[in-house]
Amino acid sequence: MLADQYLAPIASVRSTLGYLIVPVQWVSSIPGRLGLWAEESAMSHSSLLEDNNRLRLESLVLKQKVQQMIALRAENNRFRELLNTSEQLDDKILVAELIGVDPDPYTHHIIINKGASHGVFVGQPILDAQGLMGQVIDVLPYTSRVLLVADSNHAIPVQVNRNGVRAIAVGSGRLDELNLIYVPDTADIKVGDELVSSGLGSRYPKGYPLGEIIKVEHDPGQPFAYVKAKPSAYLDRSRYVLLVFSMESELPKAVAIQEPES
Amino acid sequence: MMRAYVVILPTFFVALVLAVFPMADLLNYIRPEWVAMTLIFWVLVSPNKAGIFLGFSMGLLLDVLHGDTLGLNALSLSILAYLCMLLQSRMRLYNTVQQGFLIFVLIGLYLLIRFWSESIITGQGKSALLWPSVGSALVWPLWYGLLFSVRRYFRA
Repeated sequence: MLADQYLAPIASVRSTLGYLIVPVQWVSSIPGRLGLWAEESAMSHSSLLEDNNRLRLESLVLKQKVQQMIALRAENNRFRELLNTSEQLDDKILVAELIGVDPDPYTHHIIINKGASHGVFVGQPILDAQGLMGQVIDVLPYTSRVLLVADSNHAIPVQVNRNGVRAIAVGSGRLDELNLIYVPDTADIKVGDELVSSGLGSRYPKGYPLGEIIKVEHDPGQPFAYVKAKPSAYLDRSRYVLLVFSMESELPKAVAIQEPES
Repeated sequence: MMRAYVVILPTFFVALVLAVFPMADLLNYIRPEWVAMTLIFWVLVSPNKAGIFLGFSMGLLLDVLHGDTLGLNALSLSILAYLCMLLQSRMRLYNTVQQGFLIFVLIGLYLLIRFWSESIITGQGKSALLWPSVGSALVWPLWYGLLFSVRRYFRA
C-alpha cells in the first residue's frame, strides 16, 4: 500500500490487473445495456420520427450558432492577442459512455468506457452537455474512474459569471448540491448567479459552466457566508460524457495577476 | 489440484461481479462483501487449496475494481484468510445460522482492518462497518448453500 502511494512502477501493475478486471466490468454492465437496448428497440416508429425531426431542427439551430461562433472566436482571439495572452478557447473532445457507477454509497464515482488506450489521463476534466461533471482519478486500459464534482472529496475553483467573484466549490456528498466555502459576507453573490470554472489550479479548463447559486445565507455568528449551488450537469442522469483534452492548461493571466481577495 | 481452481476462480468471478453490480440505493448500504464471503467459504471447505495467497490475489483484483489504494483489500483479505484458517475446524461444526453470526464478526473485522489501514494511508476511510456485515451474515446461508452445491456438483 505504501508502495502504491509513493512508487511510480506500481501503476503498471495496476494497469495489468486492469485487463483482468475488464470482463467483470463488462458483465456487471449487462443489465444497464440490456435496459437501454430494450428501450431503443421498443420505441415506436412515430416517436422515432418525432425525435429525428427535433434533432434535425436542433442541429440546424446549432449550425447557425457555430457560424456565429467562428466570427466571434476570431474576434476574441484578436482581442486576446491585443492583451498579450496566448490562451486558446478551443479544446479537443472525446465522447465516452458511462458504463458503471461505484456501488459505494459514500462516494460519487462513475466508470466510463474510455481508458489509457484512448489517451485518457489522470486529472482530465469530464463534461456532459450541461456543464462540468468531474475529473478522472484512475485510468485502466479500457475504462477509467471519474470523481464527480458532488463528491465530498472534490473541490473546484470557480467564479461567478456575472462579476468574476472567485470561490471554491466543494462537493457536499449529495448529487444536487455544492457548497461554496470561504466566501466573505460582503462578496457579491446572489441567488441565480451562474458559476463557471475559473481555470485556477490549472486542472479544469476555464469557462465551463458548473452550476447555479440556489441559496445564500449570512449568519452573523459565522466568519463566512453560507452559499449553496446546484450543479448544472446531470450528474445522475447523463449517459454520454465528454472528455476534454485542453492543450493549454495555462493560467488566465489577467486573473492571476490580481491580488487575492482578503 | 488444478481442477479445484477451475471451480474456485469462476466463483470469485461471480463474487467480483456482484461486488460492483448496480443495485438500488438502499440496498447499496447493506451490500454484502461477496468476495470476502467466497474466500471464507473456500478456506472453510478446502483449507489446503484456498488460503492467504488466494485472499491476497483476489484482494488485489478487488482493489483495482474499486479503485482503492493497491493492496488495501489484499492485506485485509489475507488477514481474513488467516483468521479463517485458525477458525475453520471449529466453524465446520456449526450450522449455517451459527456460522452466520461468526460471519458477522469476521466481515466486521475485515472491514475494520480495511478502514484502519485506509485511514492510516490516505487519512480517511470508508467507515461503513455495521450494515455490510449484517448483510453478509443474512446472505451467508444462501451463499453457502449455493457454493456448496456448486462444489459438490463439480466435485472440486
